[in-house]
Amino acid sequence: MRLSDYKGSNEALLKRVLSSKGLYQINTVVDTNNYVSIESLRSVGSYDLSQLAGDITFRKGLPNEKYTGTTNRSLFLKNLPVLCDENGPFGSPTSDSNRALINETTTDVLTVIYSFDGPSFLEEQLLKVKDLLKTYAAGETFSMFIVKDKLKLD
Amino acid sequence: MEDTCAGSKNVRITVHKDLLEASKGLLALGVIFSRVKVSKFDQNLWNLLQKAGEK
Repeated sequence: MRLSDYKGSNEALLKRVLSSKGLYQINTVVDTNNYVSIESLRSVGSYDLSQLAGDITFRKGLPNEKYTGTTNRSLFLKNLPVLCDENGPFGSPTSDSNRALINETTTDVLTVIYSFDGPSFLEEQLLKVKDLLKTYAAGETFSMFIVKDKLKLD
Repeated sequence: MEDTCAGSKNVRITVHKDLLEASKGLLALGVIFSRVKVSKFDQNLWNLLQKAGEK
């Protein structure tokens, strides 16, 4: 386990940009995530809803919880904030698991912008995600929320 | 204290009270459910992303 594996995905992305390593090109939904992450300086995750079961909880990782991240490294989740469904953790602001990755067969998507500095600009950033998904992924049937204020956006 | 929202397919998202309390009110999630058609590559989006990385 390396400490550097536990920085936020936004920080990892910015580090790549600043070190001129270049950005990953994955697909139009993940590219949208990366764009909004660079612009907002926040971690952004998108998940294939068909790979998730039941309701979702954002909670602290438990001792012994881990998953294989998108970089194929094991991520130990104890005390990290993690998104979980009824089968356990699948995402975090650090690195997502392989379980709900977006690919070209994905149709229903959950996108989460993680903020640890309050809800400022979240609405604008959600609208940017919506706009980009409409333009580059034929996005439709949107519902948007800020989970903190119980605010449902149009 | 916890907060919940429900989106498409009636999936509910709940932020656990431990995290909300530990963050002293600074934790917030922007959540968007959508239906999409994913493509492998779009040149215009890639240009936009590259440009953002150059800022």
